[in-house]
Amino acid sequence: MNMLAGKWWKQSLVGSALLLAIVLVIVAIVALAGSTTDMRILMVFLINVIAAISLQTYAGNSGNISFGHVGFMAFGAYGSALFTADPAIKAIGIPNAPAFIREAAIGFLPAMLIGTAVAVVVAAAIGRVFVRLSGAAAAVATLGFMVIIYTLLSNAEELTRGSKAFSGIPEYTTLGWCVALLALTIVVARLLRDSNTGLGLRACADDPIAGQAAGVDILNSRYVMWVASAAGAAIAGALYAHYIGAILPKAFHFELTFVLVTMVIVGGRSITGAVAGAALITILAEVLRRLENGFSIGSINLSEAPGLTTAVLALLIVATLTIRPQGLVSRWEVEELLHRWQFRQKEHASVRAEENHV
Amino acid sequence: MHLQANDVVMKFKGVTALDGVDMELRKGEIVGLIGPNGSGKTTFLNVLSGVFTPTNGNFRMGDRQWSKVSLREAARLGIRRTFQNIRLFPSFTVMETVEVASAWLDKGDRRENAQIALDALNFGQYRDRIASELSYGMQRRLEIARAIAGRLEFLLVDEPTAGLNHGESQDIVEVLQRIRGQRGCGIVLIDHDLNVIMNVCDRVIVLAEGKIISSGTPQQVRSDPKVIAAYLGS
Amino acid sequence: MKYSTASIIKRAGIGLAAATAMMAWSLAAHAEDTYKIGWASDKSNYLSFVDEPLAKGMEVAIDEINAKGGIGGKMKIELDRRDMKSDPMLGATVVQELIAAGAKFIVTTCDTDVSLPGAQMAAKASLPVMSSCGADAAGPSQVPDGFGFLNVPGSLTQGAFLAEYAAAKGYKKAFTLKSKSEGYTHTLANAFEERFKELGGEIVGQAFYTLGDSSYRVTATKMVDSDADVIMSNAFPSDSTAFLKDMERLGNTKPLLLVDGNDTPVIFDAGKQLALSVMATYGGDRSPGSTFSKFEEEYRAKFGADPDSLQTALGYDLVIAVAAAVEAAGSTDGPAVRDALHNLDNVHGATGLITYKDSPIGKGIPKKDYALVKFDLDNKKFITLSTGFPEKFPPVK
Repeated sequence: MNMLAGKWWKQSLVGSALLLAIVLVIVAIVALAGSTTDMRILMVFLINVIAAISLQTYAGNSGNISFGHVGFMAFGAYGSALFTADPAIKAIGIPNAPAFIREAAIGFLPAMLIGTAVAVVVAAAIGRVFVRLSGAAAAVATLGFMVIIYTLLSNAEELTRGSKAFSGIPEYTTLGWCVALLALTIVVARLLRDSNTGLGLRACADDPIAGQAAGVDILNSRYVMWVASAAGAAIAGALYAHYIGAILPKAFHFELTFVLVTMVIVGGRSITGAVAGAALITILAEVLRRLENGFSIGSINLSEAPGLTTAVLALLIVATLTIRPQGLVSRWEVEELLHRWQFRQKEHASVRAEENHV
Repeated sequence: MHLQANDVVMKFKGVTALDGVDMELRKGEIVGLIGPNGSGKTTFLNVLSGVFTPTNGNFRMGDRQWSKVSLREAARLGIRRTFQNIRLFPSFTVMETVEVASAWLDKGDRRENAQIALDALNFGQYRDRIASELSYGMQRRLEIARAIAGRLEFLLVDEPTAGLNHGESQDIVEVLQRIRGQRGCGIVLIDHDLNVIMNVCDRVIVLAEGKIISSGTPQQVRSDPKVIAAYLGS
Repeated sequence: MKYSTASIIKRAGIGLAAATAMMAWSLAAHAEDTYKIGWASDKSNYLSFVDEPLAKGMEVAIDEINAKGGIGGKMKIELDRRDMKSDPMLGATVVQELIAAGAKFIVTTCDTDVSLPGAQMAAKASLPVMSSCGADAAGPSQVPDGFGFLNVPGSLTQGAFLAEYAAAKGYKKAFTLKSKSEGYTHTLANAFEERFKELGGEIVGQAFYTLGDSSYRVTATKMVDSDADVIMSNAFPSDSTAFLKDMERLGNTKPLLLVDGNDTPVIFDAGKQLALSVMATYGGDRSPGSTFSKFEEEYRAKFGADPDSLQTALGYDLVIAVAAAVEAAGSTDGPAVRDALHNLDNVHGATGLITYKDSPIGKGIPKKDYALVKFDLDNKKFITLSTGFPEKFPPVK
């Protein structure tokens, strides 16, 4: 059966299911065989995958990278944290915050929706300007956005304790929440990507003149992806806040931006690419981190090399951009990769058959 | 339905590329646009399709009238085109390339519609190939397939046979004639190969230095002394 | 750069020697006989510049105690230091990892805010947790059940200490430099301002910077042109060195007050303005026979050089305080060690006497004397002018 025939949205759903199945296999392996630390790494991975897919929804479709999406994560994190934290802790930490925040103690889902709504409103308000930019100007503008959000949060002492940690956030983020929201993110991201809007926008990323001559509305398409990706990033931010229990603006700054952008660039231009990139970077970073801390054989430490992880990740970006600029899986989604692989197998088989015949 | 261009002027930094061009295009008609290099043929196509905003002039098609149109709006009006230097979406498959136009310029299932356009150009077995990996001739044909998916009133084709051998050129000519026959659209054809123009066109318009110097049937134009002068050089 | 090739080779050498020694030792020792301190530390990011010297000081204290057979003469101390890259999420993961590896006491990095998720993780496992040199007095109160500790008396007391010094010198008008990028870089200056005004001083100007700023020309111009008679800067390197260089370019002659974050050899890059500066830090009493001089001797014996920074003394203090608490508790049980640490009274550390008992600052925050030092530019050394503790300081907010 050809997976790529029929209605486009059917292919999106099949692809989403395949991708989710792969992630679930990883989850199952770690849950069954991993240590408590491995489980933590897995949870952070799942949150990062949601963030990376969201970033990809803008970057992969528009062809413009964004350094600003951790700003939207911060909205999701603080939005959700402020409305769920214990009022007793808020009375001490942020005594001058408005009463509706200070006294709020709502559930995870409504709080997450508030955080996401804030991110969406901000994204919608500034989006019209951002979607007009391309290339380096677009990248620099998003970087500026990230720095502005960071500075605002660092100075919002009355509301968020500024640069100090905001703690007392209930630890709602469970494996179940992560998997459920990841499934939702994958499906929505795939439907967006494969929709007329996503298809047209990706065409314009390849050639804007030809894309517009085929009828694509490039600015509105970018705008849709920009706002949707902000919502996804905010969800990831809320999960982050409710996993770690205490947040500070520095958590949503250059470091996290670097990690997410690396995942997306190394992975490729598809949703599958974002997941592959996130998996590769997480595994690599974790292996390197354990190497940095030294192999532990008994109590013998063999090596100490702080900074190895950052150096290797930076090298990986450079290597990707020079050797394989299209990224690990290029532009393909998982079902397309499978289909292409089958196709090549068939071609090989027919070549072989011909050779045998001769 | 007619597409009418009135007094179109296009100036680039003091250089006048089009100098008061009036033209009427009819559906169902293949019009050849010829002229020496730099005479304004491609510029006219770019103005008509919304790539450039003309310095002066206005257009009318049916009951719509405009002096300024974007690429996308022109496409939505059914004014479709190919490009002199092939412009495909390098990472897209053949199918996806045409799907873009079906998605944005047509109603109904975008894949079914794209398949129809592809079938019109005999692309059947190539649908999953990557556009940028196709042969040059196939890329030219793919551009045409993309340009005919969705609403099509006038098809502007810029040098479709450039770089093709005789057989491939002949193929393109047949494709254009078939499209005109099936879709009833008007076609504006720019080509260096005067044989192609003379064989396929109902009417030929000759541009020189941004002005129309002659128009009529291929035979009339061929024997026009002004055309001969323009081509043989002054 | 932080690491020269020579130092990497040296570190590798030390590492190898340590590994061999540990292998020999581990064959003899059993896990029950050791007390593991797990440290989620910054080895590679922006806080490593303070955690590195702290680590050396901790090693000196551990060697000293283990040479005597360990805590109470029988329980050796082992330090498991792992990199958390100043990432709060990784910090919590590393703390969990350390707990799984058998750590009984958790140390976090030099910032109570970045450390908080890790500290909360430790408290959840009923283990006491101390920030290596984080100075936010509000830090311990955010860690549940009294498990949170600081290793320093906090930014409020240091700000007040500097204010009392400024008032005693007869300064009337102060100009402050602070940043909202971190708690440390503005709470200390705020405490200075509050106490300085209380003592009759006036704040004639405030300037703000962002961590990592490279140019302080505008700020420096304002300061030089102001009628302030003293300048108080809450910056630490590389910001403080850049700031001091710009002050030099503008020919500043006003005295400067610096904070303990500058207590690192890097500060000598700042140049001539240091001659006008004094700095609040720790490790004041250096008289022969003092714990500090003993610490310095041991440090020289171990590393073949003088302590490059007084942060080393803080590292030493940390281990001494923890060991004293374990010994007093007579147990390695988390809550027992926590309670003993809260009752620690006048233990001799390298920076002076350490007291957690009935802390005037806040629960879990030690009272330690500050030292006021000036800079010996030729020998790149800090010279102690006086030691002391502020009479009054702003309350924890």
